[in-house]
Amino acid sequence: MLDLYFRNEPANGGAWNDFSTLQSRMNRMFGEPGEGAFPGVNMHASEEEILVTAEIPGVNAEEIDISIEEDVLTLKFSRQAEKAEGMKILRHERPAGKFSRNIYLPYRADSEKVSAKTKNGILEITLPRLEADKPRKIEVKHG
Amino acid sequence: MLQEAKKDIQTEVERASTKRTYMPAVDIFEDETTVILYADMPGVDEKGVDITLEKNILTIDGKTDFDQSETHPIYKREYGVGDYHRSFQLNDEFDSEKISAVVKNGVLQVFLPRMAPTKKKISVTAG
Repeated sequence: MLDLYFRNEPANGGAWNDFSTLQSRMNRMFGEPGEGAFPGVNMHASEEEILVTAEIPGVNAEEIDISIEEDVLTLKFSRQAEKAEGMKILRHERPAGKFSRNIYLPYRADSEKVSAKTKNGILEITLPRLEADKPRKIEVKHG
Repeated sequence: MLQEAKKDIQTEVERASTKRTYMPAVDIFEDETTVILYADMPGVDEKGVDITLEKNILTIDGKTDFDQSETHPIYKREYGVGDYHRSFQLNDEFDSEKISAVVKNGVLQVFLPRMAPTKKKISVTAG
């Protein structure tokens, strides 16, 4: 089993850290951490690059704030609730408000080479592995 | 703060493919003349949407084919990739000819104009 950090804890940490660590351990036992969260985030990774996708229907590309610090990718955006002047609301299920997710990457990415695009409400971030972080083969010389 | 966004639905008919079907979250507004429906369907474009109105049942279907798992090994999965399906029972009469829909950034917007009240004058002739 891959031991990956993928927590939903608040950025400022504090007293919630312990709880969310426990929560993520329990999630690892009983299901996928963050399952059912908004936005849903999937991560694909090869030796060379990480691909993060998030479901962000209705959010424009320019409204998304992406930052990287060490091995943590942070996504921030807001989604306005739809408004219809003078109309009665019958259902309101679509999540609205400000959203923030910290995503723990399996290795450090080269922040200069990170690219992101959106298509049909899906955000796709490509994070190439930092050169210095790549595994290096050490040759053993014959003594 | 986390909100639930995507629900997996059990379809009554067993599907032949392994692709899953999800129930899109919706916002619905109404006034005297129109009903407007918004549905979150990330990964769906205008070609993948199918809307039908039959016997006062409005059905929306969305097809996706967006999945990276074939090219990149999955590392962590929070959301499933699949199709969308949801039906609504409509109480009032709608003009099915005038229903229109738009898809933008993975959000489907459907406009349903209510049927104009038809006044039929029945002339009574003296027998």
